[in-house]
Amino acid sequence: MSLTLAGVRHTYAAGTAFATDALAGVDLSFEPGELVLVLGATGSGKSTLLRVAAGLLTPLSGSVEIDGRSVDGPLAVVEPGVGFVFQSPEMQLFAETVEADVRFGPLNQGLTEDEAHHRATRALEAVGLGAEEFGSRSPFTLSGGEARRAAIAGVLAMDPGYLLLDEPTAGLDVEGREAVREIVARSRRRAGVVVVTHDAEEFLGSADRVILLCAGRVTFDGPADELVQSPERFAEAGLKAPEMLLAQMLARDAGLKLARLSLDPAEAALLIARAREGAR
Amino acid sequence: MKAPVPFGQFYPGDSPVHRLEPRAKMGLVAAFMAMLFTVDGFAGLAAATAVAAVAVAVSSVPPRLVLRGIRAVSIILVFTLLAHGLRWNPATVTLLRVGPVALDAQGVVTGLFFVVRIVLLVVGTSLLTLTTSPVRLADGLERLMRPLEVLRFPAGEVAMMLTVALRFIPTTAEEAEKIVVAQVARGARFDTGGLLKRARAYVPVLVPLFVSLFRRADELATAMEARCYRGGAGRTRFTESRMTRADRAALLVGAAVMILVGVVL
Repeated sequence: MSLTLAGVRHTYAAGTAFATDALAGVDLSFEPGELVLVLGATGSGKSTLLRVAAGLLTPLSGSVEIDGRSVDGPLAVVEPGVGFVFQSPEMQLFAETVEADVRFGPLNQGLTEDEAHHRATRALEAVGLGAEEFGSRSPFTLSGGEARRAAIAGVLAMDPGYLLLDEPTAGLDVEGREAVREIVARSRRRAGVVVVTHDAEEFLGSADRVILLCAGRVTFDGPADELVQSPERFAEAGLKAPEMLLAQMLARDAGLKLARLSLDPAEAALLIARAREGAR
Repeated sequence: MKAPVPFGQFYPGDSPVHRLEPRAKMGLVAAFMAMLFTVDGFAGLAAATAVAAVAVAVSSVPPRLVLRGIRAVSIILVFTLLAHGLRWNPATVTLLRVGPVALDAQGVVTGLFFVVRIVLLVVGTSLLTLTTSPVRLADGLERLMRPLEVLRFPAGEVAMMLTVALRFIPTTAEEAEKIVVAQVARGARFDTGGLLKRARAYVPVLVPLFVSLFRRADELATAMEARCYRGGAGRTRFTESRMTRADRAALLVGAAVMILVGVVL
């Protein structure tokens, strides 16, 4: 059981003056139940990777398999489906009511109106938008954070086996980001979740595994803690390490011998305090 | 999934055709059109084809990009050919006959003449937009319309509208493509069913696209007003496009030759 990409290469507008290399030979596998964080600078190929994984973009070479089956075309309507939450997904809202918009995906999967309604109600509850309060509202009257959650509900309602999210917290306020983080945390119980972002702070603490992408290549693929212990890898991928790690790196540079690095402020403070005691 | 250069979009380059002043280029395209509408035989069309081929070769724009526009008018081409070629119960000899419907050889030849004329029209205008950036194109149009200001024609405003509209064509196309992909990811299909079903399938694309366009237009208008835009009156340009001696010579010689060929052939 996995979503697998093998030898994936892709160049946009290949063979023209506008040719842009996006992926240069990527081999990856995503398992159900794990939260994978894909980090990379702008133009590193993150969004292309997700599009290929969702079957929305056919790569120039390489293959995509879901649970050992090679599938051509969008993977939203196969079993188990691959749901894709685009960057700024609120732009896909179109129906007269929030509930009708969330029903759109399940109906396209061939479900009956009743089943689709049930799925929509459940998905809206899952993202914290009560179906009674929000279901009958126009999606165009929602706030930015609510619209984002409604759009995510539209994907969750399709009950995907794998959920791919492209910069899901971009442009949201603190409350909105927290709400999306909670949705992601809950979704991993039902699906394999892949989150793409250039902001390492957002999901690093909760991810099982981290993939670093640099110029279309995977430069790191391992447990989140392994990356936390070698923060110089962030800079190698053109990214800024989380502030918490930067502070501990400065402490190390100042001569403190930290036993390990931590993303948790309380643990980091403890590690620094112990190192200072040891130095005395 | 994404077209690198949509039909008619600017293809950057530094060829002599790219460097030609937009007004000179528009004048030459107008002369090319005049030639196409004055020639009355295939010899004239052959000359026009040669002119177009030389212009495309000099421009360094890949011919397939120039020819891409033909796809958009393919239905018109087929209709033109059939409208001239098909006859109902003709008395004379025909190329092919199925019941009362016949394909007339003379009609097909006439149809072909008009088809080639339309193709060359598309090639000429495509080459203009492919080799002229939207801003230069709008600048050229504004300069051409400027004399009309004495008749209270708002040349500056029209040029600004053109510039903004042209600037947002690629952005809108990109946005439409994003929304299409987002709806496909939710299981939408745009390639199945009859005409009505396919048209209806685009509602989930058109609604958010229009919402986004109106929002963008509103934001742009506010941003322009915030930067003191108060209409075209008294506005100047940072870079004024000027006709050089070479531009004038190219326009005069090129237009004269094309109009002469049109009249003679």
